[in-house]
Amino acid sequence: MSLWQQDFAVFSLHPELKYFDSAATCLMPKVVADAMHYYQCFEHANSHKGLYPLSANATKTVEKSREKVADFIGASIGASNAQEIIFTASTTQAINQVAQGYVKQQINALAIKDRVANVIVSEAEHHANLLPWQILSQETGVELRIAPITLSGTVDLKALSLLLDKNSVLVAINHVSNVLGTVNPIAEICQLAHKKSVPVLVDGAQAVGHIKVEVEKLSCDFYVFSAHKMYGPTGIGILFAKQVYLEQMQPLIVGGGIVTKTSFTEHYLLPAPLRFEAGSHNVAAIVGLSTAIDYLTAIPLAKRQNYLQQLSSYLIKEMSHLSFIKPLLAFEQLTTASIFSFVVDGVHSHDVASCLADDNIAVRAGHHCAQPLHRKLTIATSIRVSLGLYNSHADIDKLIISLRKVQQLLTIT
Amino acid sequence: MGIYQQALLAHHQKPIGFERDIQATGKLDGHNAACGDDITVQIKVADSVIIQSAFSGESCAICRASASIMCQQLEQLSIAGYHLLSSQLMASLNGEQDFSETFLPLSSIANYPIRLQCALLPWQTLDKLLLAHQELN
Repeated sequence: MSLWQQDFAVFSLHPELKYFDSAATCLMPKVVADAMHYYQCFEHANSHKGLYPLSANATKTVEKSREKVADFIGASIGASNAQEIIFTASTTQAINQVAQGYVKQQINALAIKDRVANVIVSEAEHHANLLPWQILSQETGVELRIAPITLSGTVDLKALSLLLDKNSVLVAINHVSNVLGTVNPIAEICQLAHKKSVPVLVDGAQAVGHIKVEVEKLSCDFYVFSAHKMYGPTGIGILFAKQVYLEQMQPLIVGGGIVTKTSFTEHYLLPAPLRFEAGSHNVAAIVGLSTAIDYLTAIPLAKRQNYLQQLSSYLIKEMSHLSFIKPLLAFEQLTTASIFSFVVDGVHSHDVASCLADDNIAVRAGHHCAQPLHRKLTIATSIRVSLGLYNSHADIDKLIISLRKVQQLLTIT
Repeated sequence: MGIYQQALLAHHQKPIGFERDIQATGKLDGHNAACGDDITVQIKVADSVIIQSAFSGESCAICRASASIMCQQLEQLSIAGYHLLSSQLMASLNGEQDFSETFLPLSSIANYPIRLQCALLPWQTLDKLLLAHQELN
């Protein structure tokens, strides 16, 4: 039994649920839902605008949360500070902001000099970190370069260094793969890119809240993530950007709350971060994110990581005993993954997931928004098991029993 | 297990028309992007009657069972008769009418909207194939 399962109210209504889809969205601790509910019942107001106490309190809540996020991801040490934290709707929106608001300018600046810029991503990116660059490529002609991954599932650093040149305007790469669960060596990637003066954007959607993330130490230039993949609510994401880039970046979405002065013909933007937060803040979701950070920091990181590491090792060991399980990465490469993707030999992924659902087991089946990676691995779809604090060894035992049943039921004899 | 009733599994295990060798007059590939199903439907049509049918490809159990039921029903069926049958399946899956005995193996799928497309893929592929056939004739 997990020490933390009782913190998640969903299990009081669904005690049989074995939830293995945390990489899609983590379940929410009751304390997070309660904080959001309390805010909406008793503290709801429009932040940054009203002159009355309720609004002033909402503003304070947003700005305190910004500081908390900065501390949580190590963006309040060295030269970094909370003003480099921008609230977005999601990781996806944050990446689009960087693509359209910063990288596009760099591409156009090179085009004036008759140079074709390039953006580098890896083979293992989520569509959220691929499509924004494809769109830019269609709009501007920027070359999209794909860095291969090694057999261990992380980006091939030698190949990456060969792709970097004087026309590279960004490396955009995941911290933890949403399919393979592998952890990219971000500090080394930043070092390589910075040697060529190329900034690095890190998609940290699967990393924050699960592994240690310190953006200042990693030395990355942009870091993006979503609250709902770290036990918070949907509808709120974070874009960390170094001050130097914030000064050059233009807001993707404009409107209320981001100007110092506007006439019918022109406007003057507020400094960052507010210039990137047009419209009303999603304060309830920000409260949820802030409370999720409190929830996580109340448990020492080493304790959380050790627990998930033990579970992960047990999962991999048990899975490796099933001859019909074909992992996307070889079992010997799976050392730390709390995300594990595989196929069941001879059985379609959706059939596996549907059968498991009948046993109250929630897994993800499909391409997990990483279709090019699946193509590279010469498979159409896979099943993904991803672990959270609520999972236990007993959950894994149940999963293994159900997988045996599925194989017997659906394999064509 | 809810969705995988014995009757559906029987079609999945021993599908009718799967990789059957026929003298096809028409052939079309169907793809379900959500699920990754890929099937090819083949038919032999003469005088607006489907004489033979077959299917092949990589698909989930539901798609495969649905294609099997389709092939089971198609032999010597007029094109008009096929369209009637297809509309009955659609209405049943949409909850507008009860499942006839023919379609009972697919009845559990009505409770899983995300899997409807799997069941419909063979029929939608044949719809397009017959449309192309009619345009040619």
